[in-house]
Amino acid sequence: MLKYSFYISFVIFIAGLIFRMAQWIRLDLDTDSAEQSKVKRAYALFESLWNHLVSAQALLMLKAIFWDGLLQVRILRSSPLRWLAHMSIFWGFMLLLFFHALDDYISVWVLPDYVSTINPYMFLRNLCGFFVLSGVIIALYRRRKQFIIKQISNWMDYSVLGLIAAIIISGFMLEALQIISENQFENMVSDYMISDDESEISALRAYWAKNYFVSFAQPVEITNESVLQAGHSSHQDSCASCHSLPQYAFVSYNLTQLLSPFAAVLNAFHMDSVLLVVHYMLCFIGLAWLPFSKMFHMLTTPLNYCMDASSQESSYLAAKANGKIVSLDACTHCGVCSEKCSVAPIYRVFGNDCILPSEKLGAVLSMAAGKHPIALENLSSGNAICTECNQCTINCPSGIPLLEIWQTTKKELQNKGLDHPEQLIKKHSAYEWADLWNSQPQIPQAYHSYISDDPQTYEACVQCSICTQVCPIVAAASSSGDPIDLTPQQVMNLLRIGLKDKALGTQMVWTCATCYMCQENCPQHIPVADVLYELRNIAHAQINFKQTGEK
Amino acid sequence: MQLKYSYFPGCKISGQLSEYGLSTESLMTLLGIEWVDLQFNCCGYPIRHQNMEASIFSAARNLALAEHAHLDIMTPCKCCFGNLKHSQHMLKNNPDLFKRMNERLKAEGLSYSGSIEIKHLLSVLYYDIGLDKLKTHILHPYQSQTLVAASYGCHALRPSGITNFDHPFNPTIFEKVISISGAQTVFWPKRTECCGQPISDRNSALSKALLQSKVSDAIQAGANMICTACTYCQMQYESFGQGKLPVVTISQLLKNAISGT
Repeated sequence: MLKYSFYISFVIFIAGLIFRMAQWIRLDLDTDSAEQSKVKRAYALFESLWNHLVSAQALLMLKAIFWDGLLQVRILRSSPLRWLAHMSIFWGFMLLLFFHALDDYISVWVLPDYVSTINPYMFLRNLCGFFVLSGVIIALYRRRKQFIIKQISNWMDYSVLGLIAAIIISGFMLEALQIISENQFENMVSDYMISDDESEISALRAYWAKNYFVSFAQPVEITNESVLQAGHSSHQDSCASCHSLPQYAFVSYNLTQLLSPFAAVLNAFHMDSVLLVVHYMLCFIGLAWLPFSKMFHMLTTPLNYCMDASSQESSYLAAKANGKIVSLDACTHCGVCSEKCSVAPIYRVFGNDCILPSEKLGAVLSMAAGKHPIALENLSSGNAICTECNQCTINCPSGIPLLEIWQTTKKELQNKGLDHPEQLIKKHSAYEWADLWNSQPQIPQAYHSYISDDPQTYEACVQCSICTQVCPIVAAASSSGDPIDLTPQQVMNLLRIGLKDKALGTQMVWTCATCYMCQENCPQHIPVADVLYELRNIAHAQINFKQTGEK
Repeated sequence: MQLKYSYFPGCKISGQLSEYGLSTESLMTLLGIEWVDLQFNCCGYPIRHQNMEASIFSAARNLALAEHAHLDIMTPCKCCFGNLKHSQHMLKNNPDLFKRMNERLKAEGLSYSGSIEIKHLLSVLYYDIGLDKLKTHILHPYQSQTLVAASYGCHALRPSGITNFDHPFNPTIFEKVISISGAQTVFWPKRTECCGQPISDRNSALSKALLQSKVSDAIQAGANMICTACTYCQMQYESFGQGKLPVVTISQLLKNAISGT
């Protein structure tokens, strides 16, 4: 059964790998990419894989793999705590994979006198498992402790950590159950013991019950010195060369101590064989799931490091188009970008996931796969909030050129007809907007103490037009030959007579440079600029609520 | 007394104008000012057009971080300065808002009471260090033929009741700081006007027109160099100034006069 389970999971793994690699060619992040033929893209993919992994740049690649892949310097730079977690998991798991899971193919050939049950291998196996588990605990701590990372952590993050922990814990349980297993002992005796003298075997039982903590169904006398002596000499002849004391398997041994009260039941149900199946199955699930989960970064992140290190990548468009999708795939959803994101507080007010880089990245990938326009509207309004501070790119441990992706996305969304409010507002006149918005249900408003609704705000206005005379926008627009629709003073007048709806879409509101000349110069102390700010806020809320009446 | 601030570079320095950040840091080192980098986020200025609540919360989080570190904020950007000041003013005068923001901050274990000050680089140079002390550092003064037009930047000047930076129409501290470097300053009528950057996304033609009228004004006043003290202004001059006049930041100008490089 285990054999077939492995074959099935391996087939799924390979199919997943092909599927994900096909995505690199199939998906188009932008128009430039879409213009490249898929055949050209496929050829470019093979060529760049060749260039990166085999060609003359091999030394550069080795350097990238060593520093970023093996020592994970980029993670250290972005978050030392995460580096500790990731290094523990990565090294612990990789060593277990190569020297424990694949021991028949690797350890027996490269390690002197390798036997899984002797030291140092028995100890080291536990140590690696211990590191992986510690890493998982640190990773969980980080995901629960850091405010923004806690918000973005999803079922994928937790289930991958859970699976890794389950594989390791089942391994420890398996070893612990094998230590106490009578069945294992008897099988070993029949396989390896030369003599079949019953008294010798029972002496060995006593010795193993005392020193190796095997739990026998029939009580075994372990205080008789002479029997133990005899057991010791049989042990030396048949067992010692392959068995170190179980204490060296320090985690499993401690589990043994916990399990010993239930040993009889556990042995009766052959729980060691059950755990063996569980442990293998968990590993196979991991293998099959790898290409479909965020664990795929094991392949894509190093590939992205190589692309980053390469000097010849961006030479032609087809390779560039593939590279963009590969770099999106290199995301491990570690959340460092969102932790460092300059506009994360705005996400907390708006609640739009697409403000945070780690979440926006998923939406960008969906856009490349041709996702539904509603999702694109969220992406568009989230992406518009980015201040291009570049912190996400500087801190990304996977080396993803995030800022470049956001800029590309911005252009691409515009190509798809998703205009920013600043562009959209120009499509209608202020009066048209007023009609459009008045025909829609009232939108819930963010906060209600608007100064623009307070008659006292304009009570003192004498329409002296000083605000208009000092406004640099009014002046510049007039001298450009395209005068502004309403001047600040006229906007104030509209508000005075209760026509706020007609003011919201005016050019004056949307083109105000916020220099506060009007407000500072106003002899009546009307907060002209603050009112314009507020009107722009309200118009933004309207326009975001429903962009146009045409849809 | 040792001057120490929490340094607030702002998004555009880390993203697009790292030279201004680097020269500000070297200037602070040369003048013996200590600073710490806190995990600041956006000052809230860019989102203020869209949503005041989000803007004030962004600022409040920065204020809370600085307050937690017991350090006043020093920023070289006038838009960051202006918005942080504005939010601080709103928080001080609107108890509802103050309570609401503190509730949001509390989710992250932060709080803000209002105990710190926000300063612009120029006010630190002018008030905290002082011109006399600044003068002692100038070892490589500019030639007096260097005629500098100081471009103030609106968001520090106005609304003056909130920013308390200098006189909103007849400010002087920028020119005084520049004069310390040995260079002469010129008077130009548009020195306190908008550079056009705030509308560059919304109406780039108008934005460019505003900037170019400033540059022409500076040239007409006889300047052979423009000096800025704001990240956004500097970016705007670099985008639309067409190289008619060299444009330097105040940090670069003073750094040159102090270290000769």
